[in-house]
Amino acid sequence: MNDQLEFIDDYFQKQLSDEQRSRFEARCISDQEFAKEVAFYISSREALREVLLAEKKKAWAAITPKDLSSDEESKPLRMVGNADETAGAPVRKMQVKKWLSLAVAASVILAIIIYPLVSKDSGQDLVQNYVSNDLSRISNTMDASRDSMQTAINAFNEKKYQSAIDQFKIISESDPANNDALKYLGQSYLLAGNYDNALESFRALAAKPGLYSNPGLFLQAVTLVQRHDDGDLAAAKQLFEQVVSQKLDGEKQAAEWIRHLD
Amino acid sequence: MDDQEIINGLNAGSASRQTFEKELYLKYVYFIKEGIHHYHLSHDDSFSAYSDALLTVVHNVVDKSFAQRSSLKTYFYKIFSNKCIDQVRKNTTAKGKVNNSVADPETLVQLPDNVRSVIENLVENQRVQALRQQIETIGEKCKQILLLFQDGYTDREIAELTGYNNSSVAKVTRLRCLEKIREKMKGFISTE
Repeated sequence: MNDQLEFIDDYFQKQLSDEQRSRFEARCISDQEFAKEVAFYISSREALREVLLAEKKKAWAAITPKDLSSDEESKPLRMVGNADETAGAPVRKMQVKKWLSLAVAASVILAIIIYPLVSKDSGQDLVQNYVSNDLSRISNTMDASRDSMQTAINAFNEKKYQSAIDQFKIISESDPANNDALKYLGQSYLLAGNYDNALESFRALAAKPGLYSNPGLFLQAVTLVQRHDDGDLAAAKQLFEQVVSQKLDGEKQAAEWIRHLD
Repeated sequence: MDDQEIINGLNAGSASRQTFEKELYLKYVYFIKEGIHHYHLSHDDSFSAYSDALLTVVHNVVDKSFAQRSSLKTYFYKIFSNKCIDQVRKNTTAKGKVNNSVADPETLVQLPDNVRSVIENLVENQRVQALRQQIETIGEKCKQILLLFQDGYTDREIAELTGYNNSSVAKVTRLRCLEKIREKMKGFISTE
């Protein structure tokens, strides 16, 4: 058996000691032939993943509920009933479950409409809750498995904001295309109470062209509410209105909070 | 069935894996509608994103990369959203049609940044597609072993499922199957 291939396999299976791992990584950089072997291994794994996914998709498509299958939307409402029940004209029955779902949905919509009217929370409380609950933790996505990002995210989640700031700053400066790093840098400044720098990061994020998903403007508004200097709330409201009118990231929250910022 | 039961079931060994994978698939299958409405994807694209995300989630649960710092649902949805965005990019940018790089193969992200940039340049979509064709030519047994491995099964589990004496034999066989693919790839001319 090819020892080199086993060495590579062991690396990705996390079977090597720290010293062996360092040797492996150094060799990838210094030995072009070895790097090609590693690239072959990774390409093969990717090809296998594609084949595996294609097979899984076939199996999963077969168990997908009817109302989620691709041709369901064009189907007319199903006619149900046995011969006795349909002795006259066929009866169109909507399942009880569907009625229940509709009732629940209606209640939720009603609650969403009524809640802001009766709620005594100020816009600032709502934003504060959002910062504490939604911005104080960064989830570990696949992307976070990159070493430097992972370390910085860990520092953030452990509330070591200065360390997170230092690391996200290095990452976003060395890789200007890494928009997540820029966003997390702003988040770190925000949670550390350094609002001016947070605003600067979110402004830079908002200015990035061509992003499908860009929360830059929304986060600027959140930061302004948190800073609460003269004129900040009015400026935040304007930004939230812009987020809503342009249907940007954070649109739903912005629409709700605008009513509380008067 | 709650999320913790699913996580426990996925980790309970090869015998129960498929059952709990199916449970997880069905529990959050409504994400597909979210992909259609929120990301304006076609049903097929949203289904692909959902399937792709599910595969990643299951593997991350099994290999313990998912540390349960967030709920399984949040974690799953985050990955699903990323896959939807990938689909949108693929559909809307001309670059997606001609791009010859492979966006973040899951194995590649295990490398540290400086090494990854070296290897990344050597991993090409064109080569991956050629490899995919070769996988169909190496025989059913080899293909089965490699797919089980790619699906997150350990060599010990592969030995149990395929009738090999022990994990060492399964590993040697698996690596020989990979070598078989490499032999077949010798005729493939890279564009590098």
